[in-house]
Amino acid sequence: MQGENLEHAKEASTIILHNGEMVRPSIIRARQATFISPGILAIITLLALPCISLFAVAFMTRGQYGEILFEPTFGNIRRLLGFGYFGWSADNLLILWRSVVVAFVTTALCIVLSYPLAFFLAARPAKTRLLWLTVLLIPFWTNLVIRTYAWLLVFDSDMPFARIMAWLGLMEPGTSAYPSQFAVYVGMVSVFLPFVALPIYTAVEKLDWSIVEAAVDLYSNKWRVFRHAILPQTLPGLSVGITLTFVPAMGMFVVPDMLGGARYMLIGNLIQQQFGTSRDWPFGAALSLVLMILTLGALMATSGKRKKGRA
Amino acid sequence: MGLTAYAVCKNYGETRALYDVDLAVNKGEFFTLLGPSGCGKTTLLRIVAGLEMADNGRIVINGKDFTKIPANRRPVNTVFQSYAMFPHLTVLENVCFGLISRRIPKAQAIEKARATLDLVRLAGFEDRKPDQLSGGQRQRVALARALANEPEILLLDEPMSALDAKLRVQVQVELRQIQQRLDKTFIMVTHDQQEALTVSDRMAVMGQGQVAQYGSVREVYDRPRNRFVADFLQTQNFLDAERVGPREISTRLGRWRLCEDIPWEKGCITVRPEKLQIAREASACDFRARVNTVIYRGCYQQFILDNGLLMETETVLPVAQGEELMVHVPKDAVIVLHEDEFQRMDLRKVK
Repeated sequence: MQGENLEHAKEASTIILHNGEMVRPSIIRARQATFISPGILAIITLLALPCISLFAVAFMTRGQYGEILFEPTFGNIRRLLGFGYFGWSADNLLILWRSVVVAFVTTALCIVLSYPLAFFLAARPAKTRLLWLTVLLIPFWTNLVIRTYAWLLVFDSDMPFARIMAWLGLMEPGTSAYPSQFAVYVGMVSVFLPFVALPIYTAVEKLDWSIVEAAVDLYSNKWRVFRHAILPQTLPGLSVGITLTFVPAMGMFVVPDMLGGARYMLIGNLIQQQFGTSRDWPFGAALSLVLMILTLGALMATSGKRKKGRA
Repeated sequence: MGLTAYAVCKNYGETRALYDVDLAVNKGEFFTLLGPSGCGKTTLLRIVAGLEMADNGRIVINGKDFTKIPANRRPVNTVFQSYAMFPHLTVLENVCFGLISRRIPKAQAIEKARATLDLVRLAGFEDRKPDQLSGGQRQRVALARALANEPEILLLDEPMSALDAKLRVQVQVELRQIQQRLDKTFIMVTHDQQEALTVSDRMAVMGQGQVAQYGSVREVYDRPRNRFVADFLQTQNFLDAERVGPREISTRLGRWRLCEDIPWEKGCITVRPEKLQIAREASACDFRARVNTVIYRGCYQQFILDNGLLMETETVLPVAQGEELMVHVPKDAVIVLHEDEFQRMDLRKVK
C-alpha cells in the first residue's frame, strides 16, 4: 500500500497520505534511509571493509619479516594452485579438495543421524522431551576446545574404546584411536549434529501426519513414505541444517588439528598456519578468498536447487 | 460380505474407544458410521484402513482376514478429512501415487489416473498443484486418488466437513452417484445426520464406543431403538409413559393407541414433530394445547406448544400465538424406545 502510494506520487511536490499523515514522498524516503542507516553502517564496517581488505591483501607480497608489502602480485594465487619454488605440487589443491569432502561427508552423516534423532525427540512425551533436548544441547553450550579434548580422552589408548577395538583386532594394541580420519569425523559430527538435528526436529514436530498416513494408505514402502511424505515437509529444516553445517565445516580447524594430527590438514588449518606460525598474511588472505568463493558457490547451488524444487 | 468386523476393541490408555463392535457391510453398499464426536466412529474407520490396530477382534474384507496386515497391504483406500494431498506433487501425480507404489507401469497408471479424474469431473486440472485448487476441487482429487486404486472398500473420513453448506449438498449427491456407477463398497464417517441420510443405504449410529443401532437408513430414522439414537436423530419430543393395555399407553397428555407391542411397564416414547397433526374433529383429538411460539421456516412452520412439545406442519397455516389446537397423534407416529443396556452402562472407563 505504502509502496504503491510512493510510486504513484512521482512528482516531488505531491503530498500523499502516509500512515495517517500528509507528507511529501521525499521525506518518507529520507526517513527510511535514516532508519536503516545503522544497519548499513554495521555491514560496511564489519563486513564490507574486511572483505575488501582481504581481497586486497590476497594480491600483495609478503615481506622478509612477515610484513605486508604493497607490491601487487598474482604469486599467492599461483602458489595456491600449486606452482611453488620446486615446480608444481598438488598439495594445496588436495587440501582444498579434502576440506570439501570432509564438509560434505560431515553434513551427510549429520543428516543421516538427525532424522532418527528428530523423530525420537518428537515421540518423547512432553515431560521428558525437554530433558532429551537438554542432553542434545549441553555439548552445544560447551567450549569447542574442551569438547574436542574430551574426545582425545575417549580415544586414548588406555580407554575402553581403544581396548575394545584392539580386542576386536581392528586396531593395534596399545595405540590410541587418534590422530585418524575416523576421529576427525566423530569430532566433526559431534560438533555439527545439533545444527542439523534441531531444525529437522522443529519440522518433525509440526509434521502433518495425515500425509504420512495417506502415503501408507496408498501402498508406499518405507522409502516412498520418507521421500514423499516426510522429506518435503522437513525440507525447510533440512536446508537450514545443511547451510549451518556445510559452511562452517569447510573452515573448521580446531577439530581436524587436534583429532587429525599434523598430516591431516584441511584448508582451515592451512589458513590458521599462514596467520599464525608462518606469518604469511597475503597467502592466508588468498586462501581465505578461495574458501569464501567455494562456500558462496555451495550456498548458491543449494538455494538454486531449492527454488527449482519449489516451482 | 464386503466387510465384517468381529468384536473389535480399542483402548487408549484408560479410555475405551471401541467396545466389542460387530459390523457387517454388504458388497456394493454405501454404509455410514454416524455419531457424535468421540463416539469411536473414526477409530473404527482407521482400524478398517489399517492405520490403527485393534486391541482385540477381527477385520475381514471380502472373506479374507486382514486383522494383522498393515495399511499398505490392505485393499482399501481412504479419503482423509484434511484430504492429505502431497503438496509437492501435481494433481495427476497425486492420483497416480498409489498405482506407482504398486509398480503399475507408468503409462498405464497415467491412463487410469486420467480416467478417474474424468469421473470426478476434474479433467484439465492434471498439472495443477494442490495449493492452486479450491476446497471442493481438492476434495475431488482426494476422492480420485483413492478411487484410482480400485479398492475393494473406499473409506471416507468426514469427507465434506471442510466444505461450505451449499457445496456439501451438491457433493453428497455426486458422491452417491459415483458410488452407484462404480458399484463399490463405500464406508463413510460423519456426524451430520442429513449427510448420512442423503448418501447411504445403511448406517450405524455409534455412541460411547459401541454401535447403538444399525440398519437401513429408513429403518433407523423411522424407528430409533433407544433414547440415545432418537436423541441423536432429533426426534425432539420425548414423553414418559406407562403401559395400560397390550398396545395402549398412558402419558401425561392422555391415553394413546400404538401399532407395536410395548416391551415394558414404564418407559419412554418419542414422537417426531412432523408426525403430529392438527385434528379437524374433536373425535380425532388426542390432546389439546396452546401455541406458545410460532416459528416460520419458509417451507414449513414450527409451533412450540405450552406442554413442551414441538410440532411441525408442512403447509404454513394461519395459526396465531396463544391459539388452542387440537392435536392428533397417529398410531404409527409413536416410537417406543427400548431401554437397552447401552444407555445404562458407562463404557468409557476400562475396568
